[in-house]
Amino acid sequence: MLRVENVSVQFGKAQILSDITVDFEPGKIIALCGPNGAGKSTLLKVISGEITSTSGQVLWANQSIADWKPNQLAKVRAKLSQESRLSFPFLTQEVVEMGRYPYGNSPDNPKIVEECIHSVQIDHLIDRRYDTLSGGEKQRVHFARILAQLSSTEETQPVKLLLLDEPTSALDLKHQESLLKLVHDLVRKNNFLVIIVLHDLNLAAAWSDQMVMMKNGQLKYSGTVQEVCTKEVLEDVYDVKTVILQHPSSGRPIISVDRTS
Amino acid sequence: MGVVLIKMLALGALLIGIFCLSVVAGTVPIAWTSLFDILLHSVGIIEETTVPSGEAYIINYLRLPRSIFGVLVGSSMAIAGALMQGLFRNPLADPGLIGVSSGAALGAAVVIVLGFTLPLAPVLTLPIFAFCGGVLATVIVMRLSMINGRTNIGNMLLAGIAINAIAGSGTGLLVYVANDEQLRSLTFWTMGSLGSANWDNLPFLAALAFLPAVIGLSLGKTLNAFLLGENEALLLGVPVEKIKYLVIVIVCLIIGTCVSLTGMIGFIGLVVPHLCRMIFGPDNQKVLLGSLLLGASLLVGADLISRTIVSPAELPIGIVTSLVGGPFFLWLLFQKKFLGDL
Repeated sequence: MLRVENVSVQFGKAQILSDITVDFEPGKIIALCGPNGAGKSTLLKVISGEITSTSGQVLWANQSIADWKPNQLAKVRAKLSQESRLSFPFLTQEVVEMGRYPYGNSPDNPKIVEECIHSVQIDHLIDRRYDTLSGGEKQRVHFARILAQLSSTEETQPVKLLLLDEPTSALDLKHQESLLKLVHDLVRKNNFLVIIVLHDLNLAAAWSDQMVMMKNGQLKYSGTVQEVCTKEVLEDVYDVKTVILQHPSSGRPIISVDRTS
Repeated sequence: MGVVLIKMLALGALLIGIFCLSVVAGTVPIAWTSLFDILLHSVGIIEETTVPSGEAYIINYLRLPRSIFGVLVGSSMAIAGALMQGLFRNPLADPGLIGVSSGAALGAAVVIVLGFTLPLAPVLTLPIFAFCGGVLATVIVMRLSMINGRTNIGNMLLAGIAINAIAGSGTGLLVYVANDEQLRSLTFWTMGSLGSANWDNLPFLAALAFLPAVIGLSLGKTLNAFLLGENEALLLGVPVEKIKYLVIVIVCLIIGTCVSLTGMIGFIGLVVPHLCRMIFGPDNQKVLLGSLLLGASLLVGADLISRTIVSPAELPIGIVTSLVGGPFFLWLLFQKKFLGDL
């Protein structure tokens, strides 16, 4: 469904991504992990079209993203970025409404905006000025905006691609959990493809269906959580020794640095 | 929604009020009844007017075209300002940033000081040169702000500053070699006036400034998306590069046309969108429409003051807009609650 084909990115002499080829199928949460500067965010930006790759291409539904009409692509692909530049004093509700811009003045807009606000649990913020919100609240507002962007009321829905760059970085424990639960439901119920850059390996291990480990602009490992979360892989990628435990109820790995050695 | 509608209607009513006042007030005062008589007559509701021919002439050939001129210039310039502020994501951006005003000034200075006329259209020599100067400066700024095939807004700002400085020094050189009479007309030109208004140049103004401004009105949502950042706008399906070009072309046409026909009129493009943001909030859809109404009102109002305050002489309108706009802008800067939004 999403095909990254021989993608390389160079900034001046720095090789950020080197010849990456990978396929992702819908109905999965893909966690993109790796040390700082591995190229995770850059890969996400190439997929989102924010950066044009030096060579190679990205295909969605067998069509290069460069050939998609921007407005059509916006209805099936959205991204939650790490930072937002919005500094004008919009109301929270207005920011979420921006997610509906690709749809013009569709009569469904108010209902969808309301639903998205409700599912991200920011009902109490809708009349607040966006610029007065905390970092975590802003992040949730943008998440509601992105949900609104991908929501549609049509009978047959095309597969949607959701890109998340560190979505939990400013969130507390409860909201980390509810955001990822929401993402999980979108994947299960609506067959979304979600690619999520996460630094927190425990969150990645707890929620993803597939983990991809990057290092120095290359894809080093890709597989299920159990396959990737091993001492050997983590030492190779992060250059630290780890202890891997098992979550008592979910059975998923819990990773911690081994301080004894 | 209701509140917004009421505010818009109030701005509309203000515009109609100031427009009518601008037609009846002046060196020769005219009765309100004469205005309505003439208006009803011109749309064919009544067949004969009892208005004295002198008054009818003043209304038909002086005040009406001038007031309409003011409406078109004011609304177009205010929309140009709102578009620039949206594009630059900065409430302090001014249409002059892309070099169009200083380029136009240089074009005008060339005509005034070197004193030549185009053989086919002697009267239009100055507007044509000013317009071309403005467009040329903008094209240069646009070329300089391209990085890897994309227009870089930060570079555009810097290139604009440089081109403004170069055009300014060109104008300065011409001022240096000008004689007293040329200097006087150049100085007056830079202070602006609606004195050139007549029925003949109104269509040019409507086609080259007001029409682009009306097209600009439709960019409200797009510019809101721009406020999220260029990348976010792209992700929302906005064809970012095309929109940047469109906005620059619109602003360049508006300012180039207005400046070439009226000279330099400051502060309308900067202050009006600001006022609209205070009235309606930051939503560009409302800011643009509000700017259309309020820009027209303020410019027609300023022209009214410039015509009447030293009557029968005329004060250059740029003095009035800057005299009112400058202190207002300072006041705006010192508003604590507003400082946070800049």
